Amino acid sequence: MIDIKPIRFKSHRGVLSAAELAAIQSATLRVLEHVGVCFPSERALRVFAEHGAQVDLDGQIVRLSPDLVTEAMSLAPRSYVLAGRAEGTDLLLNGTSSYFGTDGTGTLTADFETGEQRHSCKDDVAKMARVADHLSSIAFYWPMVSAQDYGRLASLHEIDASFNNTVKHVQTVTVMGERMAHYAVRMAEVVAGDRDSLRARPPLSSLVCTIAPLAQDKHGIEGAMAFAEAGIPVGFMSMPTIGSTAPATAGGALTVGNAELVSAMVLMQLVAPGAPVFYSLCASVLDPRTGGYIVGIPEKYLCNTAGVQLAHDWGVPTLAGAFAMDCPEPNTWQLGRDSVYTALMVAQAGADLAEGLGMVKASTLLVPEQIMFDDEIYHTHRILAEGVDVDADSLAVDVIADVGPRGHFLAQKHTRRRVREIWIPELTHPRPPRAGEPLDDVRKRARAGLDRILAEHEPEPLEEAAQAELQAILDAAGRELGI
Amino acid sequence: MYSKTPDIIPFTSPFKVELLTQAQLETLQGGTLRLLDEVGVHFPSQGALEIFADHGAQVDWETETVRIPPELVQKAMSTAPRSFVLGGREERFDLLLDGSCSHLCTDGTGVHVVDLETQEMRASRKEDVARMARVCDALPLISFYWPMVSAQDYGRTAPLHQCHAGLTSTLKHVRGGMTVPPQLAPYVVEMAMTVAGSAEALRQRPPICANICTIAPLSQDGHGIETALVYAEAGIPTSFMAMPTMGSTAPATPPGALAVGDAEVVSGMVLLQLAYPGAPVFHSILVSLMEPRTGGYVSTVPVFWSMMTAQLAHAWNVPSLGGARVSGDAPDIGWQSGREGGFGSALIPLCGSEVTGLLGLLGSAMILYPEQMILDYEICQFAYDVLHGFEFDAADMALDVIKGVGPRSHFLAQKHTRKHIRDFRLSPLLRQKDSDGNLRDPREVALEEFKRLDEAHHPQPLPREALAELDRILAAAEREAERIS
Repeated sequence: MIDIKPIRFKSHRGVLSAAELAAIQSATLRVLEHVGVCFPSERALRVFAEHGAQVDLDGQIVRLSPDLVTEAMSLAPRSYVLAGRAEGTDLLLNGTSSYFGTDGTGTLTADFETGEQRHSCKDDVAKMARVADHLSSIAFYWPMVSAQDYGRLASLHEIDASFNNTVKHVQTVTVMGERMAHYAVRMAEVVAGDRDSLRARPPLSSLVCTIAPLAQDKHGIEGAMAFAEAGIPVGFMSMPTIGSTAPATAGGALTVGNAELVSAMVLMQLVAPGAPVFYSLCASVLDPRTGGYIVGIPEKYLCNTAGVQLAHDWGVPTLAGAFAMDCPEPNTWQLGRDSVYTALMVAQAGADLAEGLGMVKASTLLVPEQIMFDDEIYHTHRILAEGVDVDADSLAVDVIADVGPRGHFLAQKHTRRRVREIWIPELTHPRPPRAGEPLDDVRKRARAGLDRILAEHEPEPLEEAAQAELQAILDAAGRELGI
Repeated sequence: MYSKTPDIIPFTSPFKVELLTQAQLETLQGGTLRLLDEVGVHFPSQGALEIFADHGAQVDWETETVRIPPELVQKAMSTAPRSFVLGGREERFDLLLDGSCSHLCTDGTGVHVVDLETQEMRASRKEDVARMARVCDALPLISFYWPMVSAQDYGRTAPLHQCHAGLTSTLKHVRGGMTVPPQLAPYVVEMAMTVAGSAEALRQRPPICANICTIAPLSQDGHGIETALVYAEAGIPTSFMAMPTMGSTAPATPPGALAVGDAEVVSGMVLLQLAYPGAPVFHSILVSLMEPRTGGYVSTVPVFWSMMTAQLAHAWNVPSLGGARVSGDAPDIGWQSGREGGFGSALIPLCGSEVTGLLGLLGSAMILYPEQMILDYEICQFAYDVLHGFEFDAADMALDVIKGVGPRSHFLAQKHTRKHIRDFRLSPLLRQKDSDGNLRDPREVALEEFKRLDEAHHPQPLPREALAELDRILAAAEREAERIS
């Protein structure tokens, strides 16, 4: 039985007041109307023109009136299902639960055997899908690294490795262009069973990055339109960097990112009214001393949390950025500190989805055991969110009265019954080793936990016919694309 | 020549969370009242038992147990002040505990120190207490110094030497009072009075407060209680700190542990109110868990203790000390200490305790690594930046700048960028490179910063006469300790 344990805060808390939220929304509408967004896609420009947007064909700039924006956005559903392929794996995005997924998509892997850094490959995607399938912190799987051993077909092979190694929902972040999207849709159809089931319970969703400031990627946006038409949920992620691709103020970065996301979601609604879309805003800051990219900084956390509020204000689910810190090494003080904040803040704000467990070095490097560290932080948040029940059994006044002053509770039945309900973080509070054996350090213990999963956990396989069909689609894609 | 002590920076936060509903709080307080009325608390002190008996509590002289009826609890607690001042050497270091902000404190009291020079672990000494006080004196987010380790080189008078090291090494408020043999408590009061200037000044702006640990379940320490009565008589604010451990000294449920701890703390506060109505008291509960597989001590259980204990304190209408704890169980500096510090610091602005944070120790408050204070401080600075939220105005959205730049360009060349990009605080510990361009370990950078502060920061000393008087008091205390041993 697959066990997915989402985070459920009893009440939500953001960082923007209603007035601040309204100010950003109104600024965004002004940017969309007067500055516009670049859509380097003939099809997208045509769709916008047909719906009365102001299109500058030469500059490939689309300007959207507030009426067009709000009308189109009113068609986007607030709530829908991301499906898995086994019981208990469907994720209903309706604002009551925060579902977390893995981080991606890196290009380097610290080899499972040697620990040496090398180019990532399809087998890494498969192995980590198996680990993700096991962990109750993971509700959906992003292929964590690129299947670079398959060149231009990498994105499809990442989906293949994922579908074959986890029953949980898969979200691709690397499928670009209409043709590639069509292959991915066919793969999802194989897993779903047929086209209608695909629409009702899509086992695949897609995330496409926008380009800050105020631009879309041609292949990204054309792939997104193909997904939306097939009923596959499409999310857009804006990653404004404060100081380089966005103004050097948090408000400015939120406005730029918000405009990019809304323009893309509007297009989806024009192409396929009612298409399930989601919203993702992940900011970072330019290091003014080096030009580098800083993730672990307060403004990022504030912006990501504000992003959750903006998404809900538009009436769509959100995928928030969490974990995924810039620290280059696992098991360091910096990573322990940084990982705590984003996850806590976005879950508290009510993020429907959040990505980010398992990678280091700003999501570029897969160190396999890192996911075990993040898993422990995740569960700490989850249990904190549950709060406590103050009922008579918990209050235990009668037990206390029986024990009385200066006694102890070790021999009480109540203790035996309730003490094991308390979750103890296993990594930081390990079982003692056998007499005479040394206690491994925390990183070795994390690695041992991961190796145990890899050795013991076999996810429910796809039916053989489905496996063969996925392979046939991959072969066809190779042939048809001349790869 | 001495160094100037920077002004302190309290935490104010728009993010305060009230986790328990009014009904839940009333249930918890109802549990406490029932325990006090029906089960009672052990007070092994003749003096305390007499005070309770005089005020109508039900005293069992044989078992030294006091049962306090709810009306007496309520009446006594109604005289406890909701807000009072903890004094610093200058008024700018005074802390008004009124719920409007949180003040960060150090953690205490460890027994092992990793030596700054040899990096070997050794028993803690008075010089460590003084050194940490001096370094914390330079850190503005720290408002309240709890002597971080024990002055083990002074045997029975160690607590007095910890108080002395604190008072002579920082201008900030010192948690200088703790449980001592009652005959030694007047010497602590004399030290505080010497620094304050007079008995009246001590009452107005006490430079020390005291902490008395209760014994779970439902018991007080005889010396602790008698010491508390001496401190309260002099006007020294006193916190009672309960440390129930779920599964061994408390029920294995969070509300059960809170009920045990609350009953202990409230019984102590009631005693002080009965003896000295209006005595400043505060409320403190630190809950831990008995690890069921080993019997070990787990202080970082994922429950929002900080919010619940602060709410309980405020429900009794007294200030709260404790709650969010940056220190953790990690035996060394690494991912675990970062994680525990991250969690603890994130809770500071949420809990609203008047005194909170407990920075700087590892190994469940047993081990002091000097650089850990700098790392914890950085975490708190980070929490301060994150959880103060946005200071947001319409101009921040920079619409004209966005319009000027337009799609597919960049903001690097904008005046607006040059003006604002340095508004963001970058951690001085992270992303530092060595001369070869390699990333430096934050721990190494922190140790360097600690050594720099240790060398450079020497706060204004007490007047010479006060220092001499403190020495005389300590010498007299030594003689008294010798006599009573």
